Amino acid sequence: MLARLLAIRSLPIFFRRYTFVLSVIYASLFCASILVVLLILYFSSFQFLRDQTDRYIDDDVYRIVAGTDWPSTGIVNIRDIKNYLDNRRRIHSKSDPSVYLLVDRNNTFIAGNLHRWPTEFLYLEGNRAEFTSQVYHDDGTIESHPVRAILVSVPNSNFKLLVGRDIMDIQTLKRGFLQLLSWSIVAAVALASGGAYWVSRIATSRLQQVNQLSRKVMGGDLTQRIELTTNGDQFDELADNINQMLERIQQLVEAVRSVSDNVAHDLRTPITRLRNNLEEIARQLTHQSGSEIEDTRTAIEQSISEADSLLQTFEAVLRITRLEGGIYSENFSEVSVSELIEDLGELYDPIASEKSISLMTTVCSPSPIVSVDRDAIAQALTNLLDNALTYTPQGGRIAVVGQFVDRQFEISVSDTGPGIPPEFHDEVMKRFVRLDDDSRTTPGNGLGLCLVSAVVQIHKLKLVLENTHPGLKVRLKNFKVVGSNVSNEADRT
Amino acid sequence: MRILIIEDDEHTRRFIVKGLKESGHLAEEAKTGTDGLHRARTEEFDALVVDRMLPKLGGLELVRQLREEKNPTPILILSALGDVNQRVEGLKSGCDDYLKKPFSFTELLARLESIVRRFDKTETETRLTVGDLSMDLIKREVRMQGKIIDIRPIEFRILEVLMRSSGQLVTRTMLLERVWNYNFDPQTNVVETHVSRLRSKIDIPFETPMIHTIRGSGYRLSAQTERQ
Repeated sequence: MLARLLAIRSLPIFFRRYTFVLSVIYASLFCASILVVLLILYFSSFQFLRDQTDRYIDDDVYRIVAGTDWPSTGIVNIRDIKNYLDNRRRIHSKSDPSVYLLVDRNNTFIAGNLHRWPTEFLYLEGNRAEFTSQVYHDDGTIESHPVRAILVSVPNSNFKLLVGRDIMDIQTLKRGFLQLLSWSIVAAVALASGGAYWVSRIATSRLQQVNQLSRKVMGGDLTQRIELTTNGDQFDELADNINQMLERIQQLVEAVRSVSDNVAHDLRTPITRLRNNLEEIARQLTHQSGSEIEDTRTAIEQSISEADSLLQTFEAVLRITRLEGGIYSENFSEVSVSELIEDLGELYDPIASEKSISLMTTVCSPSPIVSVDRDAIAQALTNLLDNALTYTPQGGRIAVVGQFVDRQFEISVSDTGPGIPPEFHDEVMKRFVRLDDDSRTTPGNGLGLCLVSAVVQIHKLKLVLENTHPGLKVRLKNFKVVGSNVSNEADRT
Repeated sequence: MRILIIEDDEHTRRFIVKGLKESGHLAEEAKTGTDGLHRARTEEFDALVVDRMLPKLGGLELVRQLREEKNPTPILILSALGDVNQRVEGLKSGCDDYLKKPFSFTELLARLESIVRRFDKTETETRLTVGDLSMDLIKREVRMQGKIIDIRPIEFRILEVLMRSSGQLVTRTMLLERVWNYNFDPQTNVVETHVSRLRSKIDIPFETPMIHTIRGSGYRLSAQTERQ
């Protein structure tokens, strides 16, 4: 069983599909049923032909015996039989399949058209037998033919009588039938396999549509629908249900979007007021002086920055929600990776050198041009760089690399910080999750990687976290490359 | 400056009007889009501050109508919808800047001054000068007291933005938008480190510091010494 499963797993994908397996099972049942029907036909036909042959033989025995006193007196005159048989042979035609032989106790030929008494039988049951023998024809020719016969001992004598029929035609028919049967099976297997392939192709292609649509929906595109055929079959029913489901989801998502917009509007306005009031007080205080006033001003400035960070967190949550909803997908443009990474390198260079961390940016040459939401990708990368800078110790290294790995373009950010234990790799992608113990003191709201994962999702990228001992390497894989920057300078560092 | 504020939220409107008056500007108010459009058509203003979500006539539609009538008054849109898409949409409608709510008054004033100044200086400049500091935009050269300063391209861009708004506040967000074209705020203080690098080249070697930090808001470039 295990071996069978393994064998199935090593097959190409098409042959592992559910529809194909079902079709193969159906095709096998179909072939088996054809085989059963043909075998029944075969056995019943040849049973009938054998019975008919036996009836002819019995009739023949009766005719031979009727010419003698055997039936009435029970005494058989061998000479009568011999005469009868000799007579039969004289008027025997080649098309007559009758075979007969009379021998004495030593199997010596007395009369008939058989060469000699058979010794080897193909079949022997009671006094019925089948064998191959030389048959004399009336024109003097001899042929080797299969014969079915009845073997009778003549009563009150040592003579034996054989009456039978040449079954050459039946055997030929049998061979022909068997040949026909095997060809039918071959044809049935071929037709059934072809049919199985075809049926599974049709079913698969329609399932493929559903799968493709599901992938698009997972990518955030809710506008796609499955095309219905005019058949009105179960697939159409499924497609129709899925379409209706998507319609409903789309409505709900749109409702959520407008709610989030309203929430943004409604919540930000009171926060604006709060912040503005504080700012107004601060402005009034600038015209006054004194140590107490200075303390109040400091307190108010702290409150303003608290309000700002609250708003920033709120902003980040909203942005992630919108990214996850796939609203940004229409914002894609063609961006040169070298420019993108070079800009980021430039932005972070002073802060890295301030912390004595070497920041290196490398992009393969010529630089690919990728189709992305520039702002979203830049924010994701700055979040990764922010993290790297926060956790890399002095004298460490940070590298931002854009390169092809296994013919897929990826951008990675790696550092020489403490890394993230593998068991937390999924955990850190969640909102507000922070692993460090001093999360109260180091800046950050625990949304950085969550935003990265949302950006990855709208770009259909793959996010891989790797511990490089020491350090963490975050890889954004499978960028959609749409071209390359021919005039790009080689590897900038 | 004479500014028209078109905003339905009374609190925000009063806050802006009060702030502008305190900063020595004239502020006029309109509560609805139609009222605002009428005043903008019939009166002269140095700039308009327009809320995006207005009753009767939306902010973007108002801007579109004014621009169709070839009214060139600088316009700043205020909106709680601060996403990049909406910002782009806002700028496409013809406004000069887009500010997301909630905003600090200093940010609003800095942006207003910036768009009004840009509007006044329509001719393209090839040389910027502030006090002893001069910038040649063609040779990409910066001189302080006649001495060439070795400056990185990114620092050149920051300095250019500061010099173009000299004497005015340039906020962190404005720098991120104009120098890097980013519409988000990185967590670490990247902008600060760039400015302090720039400062180490044009302030520290010379006697009069020119880049002034406005606490909690941004920077101002000016030849005068200021109280921090």
